[in-house]
Amino acid sequence: MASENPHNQAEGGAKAALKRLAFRAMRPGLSEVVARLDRIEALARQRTPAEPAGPGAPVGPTTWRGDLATGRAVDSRGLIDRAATRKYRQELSYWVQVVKRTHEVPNFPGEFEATYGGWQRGRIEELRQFLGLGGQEELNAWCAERTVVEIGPGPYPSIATRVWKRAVAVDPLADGYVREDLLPKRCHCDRVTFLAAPGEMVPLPTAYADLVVIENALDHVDEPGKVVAEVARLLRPGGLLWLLVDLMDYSDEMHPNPFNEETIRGLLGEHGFEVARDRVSEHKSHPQAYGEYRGLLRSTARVPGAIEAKPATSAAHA
Amino acid sequence: MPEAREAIASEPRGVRRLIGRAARKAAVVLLGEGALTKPGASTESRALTTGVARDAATQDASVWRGGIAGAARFPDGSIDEPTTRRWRGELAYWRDHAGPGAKDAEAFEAQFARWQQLRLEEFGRAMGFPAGRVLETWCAGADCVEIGCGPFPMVAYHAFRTGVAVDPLMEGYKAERIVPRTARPFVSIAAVGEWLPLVAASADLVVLDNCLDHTEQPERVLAEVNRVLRPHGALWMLVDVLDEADALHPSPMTRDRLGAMLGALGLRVTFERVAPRASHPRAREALRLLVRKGAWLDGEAERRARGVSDVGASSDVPFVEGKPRGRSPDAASRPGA
Repeated sequence: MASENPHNQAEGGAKAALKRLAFRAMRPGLSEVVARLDRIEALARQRTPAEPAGPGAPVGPTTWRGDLATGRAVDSRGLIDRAATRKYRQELSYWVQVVKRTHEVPNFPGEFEATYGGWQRGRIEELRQFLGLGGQEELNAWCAERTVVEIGPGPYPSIATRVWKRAVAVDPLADGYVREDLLPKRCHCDRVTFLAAPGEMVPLPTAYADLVVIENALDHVDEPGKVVAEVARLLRPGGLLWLLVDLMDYSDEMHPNPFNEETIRGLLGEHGFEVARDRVSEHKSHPQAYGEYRGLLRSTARVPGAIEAKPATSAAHA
Repeated sequence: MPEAREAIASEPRGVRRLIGRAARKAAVVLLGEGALTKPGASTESRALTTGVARDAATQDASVWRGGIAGAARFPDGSIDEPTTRRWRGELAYWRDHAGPGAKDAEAFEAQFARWQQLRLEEFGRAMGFPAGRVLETWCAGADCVEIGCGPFPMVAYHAFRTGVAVDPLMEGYKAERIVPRTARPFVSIAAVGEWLPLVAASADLVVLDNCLDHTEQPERVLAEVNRVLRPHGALWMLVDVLDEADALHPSPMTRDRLGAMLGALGLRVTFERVAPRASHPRAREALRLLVRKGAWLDGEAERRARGVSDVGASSDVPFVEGKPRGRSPDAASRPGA
């Protein structure tokens, strides 16, 4: 650094001599600064090969942290993901509108909590029918003995309409729902533990759940295959998946992975799910959809094998 | 830099000293406080004053996947070798003492259940609850999160509205069937304290027993605890006072370090008990603390701690008044110590 300094070269004139003198006089004060800068440079050189993507690039799955105005999508190191921030903010802004300014939403029939709660109760009621349980009491007893995980539920999980042994709602936007005060008050939402995590990587132990619920969320995720694999990991052997998916050919930023009847059945079969009972109907939630797939599926994956086989053994961090 | 070393060695005199001093001041103005101190030292002091380590965003966290033959894996699935070795030892300890094949597994768990009972009762006294069913009623309406709890957390033995246990080895405990036999239902989460997958303002009580010195980045852990706590929430913690780091305890805690970290977040210690017997053999003592959050959310507390807000300066005396700050000579004679 010092050897490249132009003042070290011989220069004529009193002005140059004065400059040289001033620089030499300042050297004791600057030397520590220079030494520190050298150290920083050396550290930066050491780090560069370890992090080819640069310190600003997020790695792995991201989740939303904060309210609608100031929140961001960040990875587990706290680094901001701009593309995910845009997508999540759009989704959170939709929910804020639906919950707080319901009257502005076209075709939304009434007050949010009453209307949406009615839909969610209906979905769990249909689960009762698919399970072949007698009445409400039988269903309540069934729920009270089971650990349930709902993936991508939005602010009003269908599982919040009942009391379970353990109830976990996993949504990358969960922190945003809480900060914007979107969670419903007139249900069992206070008994549901919300986790801020993407469906591709759920921070729960393997073989944890008796039932996984996914209502109109699989077409919203970036990698549906990974989500279904994660569901297979989360379910205990013989555990159940209660799934609802819109069937459509249309895709946009919010719905990057649309399904049709064939692709959804193929994906489930690929990950060891067998159909206990299912239906395809013309009812749908997205206006562009042509119908919906509703299924109760049983996991046949052998869990210990699933743990060891799934993650790639890359040596990037070794 | 031979020239720079010469300059440091030769003592500057007269005008040169004055100009040198001016240059130092200019450097401080241009590069900020700490520009002229040794790089290693300044990182630590800054980390303590802001509450979050400066390089926090560059470190990633791994969690355990699989049973004893499994590994600590980063989010992308790759293996974290040093952590795997450390945690496999920890998992083996639990398996040998409390796993299905252990000789006195039931007695081992019973001991933990008893400890957890005593710890909760002391929490009730520290909160100022009168005797009777007040503690029970409080817990029934409270959401409790326990971090770095091992296989036998407090939430397994008491009825909270919701109980959450967070541990990076959680999947290992489940896979090796090191699970409480008589447990109440609680939610098990496989995660590190530095990055909690929980939402803001979701816990009335956070339990942090013998955990902080085991973590890589304790400042980040406390910042996450602060985020997850509701306004007026309580942090119930047990910390070994330890001077030196070792493989299992990368972040030894001294009173000053702990006080600085809590103070930076605007958290207040409202109860302190010094226990002469700590869990680490080389620890000087153990501190049992009840820490309270004010009537604010995390962002506000951080602004207060940085002095940005005009609501009022945060307390710069994080420990309760009248309590000794150094090692207490009468620690052994304290009730319950």
